[in-house]
Amino acid sequence: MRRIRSSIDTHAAEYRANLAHNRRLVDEFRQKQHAARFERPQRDLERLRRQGKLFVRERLDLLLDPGTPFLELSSLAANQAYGGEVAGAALVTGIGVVCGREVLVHANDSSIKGGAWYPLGVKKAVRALDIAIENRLPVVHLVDNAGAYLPLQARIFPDRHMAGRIFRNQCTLSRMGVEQVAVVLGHCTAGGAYVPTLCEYSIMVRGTGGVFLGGPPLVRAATGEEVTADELGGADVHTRISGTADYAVDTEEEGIALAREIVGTFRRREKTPVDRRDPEPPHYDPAELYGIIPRDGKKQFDMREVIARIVDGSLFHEFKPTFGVTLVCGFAYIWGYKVGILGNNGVLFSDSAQKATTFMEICDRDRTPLVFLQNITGFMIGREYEHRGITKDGAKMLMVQSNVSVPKFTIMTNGSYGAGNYAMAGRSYDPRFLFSWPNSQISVMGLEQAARTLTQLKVKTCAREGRELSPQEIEAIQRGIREEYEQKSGAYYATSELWDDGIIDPVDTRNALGMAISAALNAPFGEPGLGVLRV
Amino acid sequence: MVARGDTVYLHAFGRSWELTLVDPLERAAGHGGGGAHTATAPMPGTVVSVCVSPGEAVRKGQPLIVMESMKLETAITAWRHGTVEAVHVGVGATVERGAPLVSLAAEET
Repeated sequence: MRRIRSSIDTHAAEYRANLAHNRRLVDEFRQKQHAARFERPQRDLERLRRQGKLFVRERLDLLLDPGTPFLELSSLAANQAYGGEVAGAALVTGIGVVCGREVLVHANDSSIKGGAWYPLGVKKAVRALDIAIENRLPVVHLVDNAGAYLPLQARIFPDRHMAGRIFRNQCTLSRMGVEQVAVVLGHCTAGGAYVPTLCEYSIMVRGTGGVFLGGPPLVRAATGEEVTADELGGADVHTRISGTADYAVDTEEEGIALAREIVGTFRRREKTPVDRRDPEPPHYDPAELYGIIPRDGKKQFDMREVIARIVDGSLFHEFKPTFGVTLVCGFAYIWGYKVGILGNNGVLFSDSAQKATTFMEICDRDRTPLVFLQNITGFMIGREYEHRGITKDGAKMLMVQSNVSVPKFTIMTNGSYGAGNYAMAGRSYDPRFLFSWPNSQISVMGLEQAARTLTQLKVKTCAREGRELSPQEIEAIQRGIREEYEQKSGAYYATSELWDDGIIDPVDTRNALGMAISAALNAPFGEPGLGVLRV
Repeated sequence: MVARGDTVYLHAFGRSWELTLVDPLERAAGHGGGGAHTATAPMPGTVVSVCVSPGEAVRKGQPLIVMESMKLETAITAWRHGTVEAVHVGVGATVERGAPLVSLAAEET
């Protein structure tokens, strides 16, 4: 492998302007993230204190091994939904270290709407448990939620990937031999009662913890029976009488300490063997990424400059460097793990897609995880390219990318449009993790093209109805479409809707990938298919 | 012994050495493709800006022309040091793939 030779001039005006722009974007992201994590109305925090409950972040501090990293997932979920009032979709998920074991944490945030399930909260919980399944990560549930947010029940309850999927995923984990422990820190009612009950280990806090299929008000309404929450399904009822839970404790601190002790008894897993060596930091400063990402999404940048600021020693072996040059393929190490990287350096042509196909087959055969660095406007179009089979070559790339048996990781670095999103392991292609940079944009086609197409459609519809639109009206329509499109193709909307596993600061890409790869190695890889085709 | 980047400083026996790593591949690599005379359009598109004029000295990697295609601006850069002999297109021109863009004067040998 050779060190990438950067040709970035850190004194250039362009670099400085990009730096200022991207630092501003990252500051804005940090502020939003801080607000979602910590800023709560005083009365909500006081309510928690009155109930004798800790804030979810305090609970995490008690749970996780001190000084270890926590890879929080989707910290800005729901930031553009429900009037912005349900920060993080009212739960915290992430990968952390407990008693030396990598675990997935699923913690309700009862400082927001009592930790109730909103549609995006359910989506986030299901995604977290999908991650646990795909990567065989034991789960610690810190349960404190008020149940489904009833006015939106139609988007929470009935469909395949809605609330029922949480419990189904828990059952799947159990069959796969992946342990789960729950600490019950609030009332778990109805479906929610299954979360702790489906765990192998369930701890309940006396007084605040409760588990019941129907809570006291429902019991009263249904049968007229008058019963207190504690008599119905408190910690002592379930640990002494029903056996629904296993341990009763007096405080949250005690419960979380006990959860740590239980995780400490879990067997340590052998990680899937992959090519590894001692990690070293990149030769080039990752903070220079801010000066490399262009202010204008239309401007191209060399993905090798990004790779040089993510991988160990900035060392890279480039595969087929003179063929299909709009896609950079090659091997590198990230935190000591060997990976195959595919990064866009322009539009995908037939030759770039062919190179990608062969490269992914090599990585699959050699048990090398794949990292996709997306900055893609799509596949090249036009007569010449169709005649040469651009669709056929794109299909090859999709076929192999979808079916590789090694884990995939995707980073949205700038643009992600159309079929390019698919070919480069977009969300639908099940990369183990997908993170976005704050500047990134995602949509089926570019803003200009979409605004033009949609406006034309509208004008035609009106013409059919015999109505002629004035230029001002057309202008107004175009503006409206443009605004909505712009908002919905931004990184904050994407992360709000859980189209990714979170926005990250570009400088943290290396660390996020390191943790993601480490987590992924808890699951064995599948078997590779055929030999490598020189397509 | 101190290592800094690709350089190792060695002090021993009252003497000092400065050893710099030379990548064997880089040393052995030829410069194939570098002798070409004219840059051509890698894909159909529109010329957005022309950054050089004939007679101008350019360094390897310096942008010659920026063209837009598929919503993306691509800079066509100098593939070697040299002098611009001719610019074949103007701003706003629509070019086919393979259209000549900028020629560099033949290298003196």
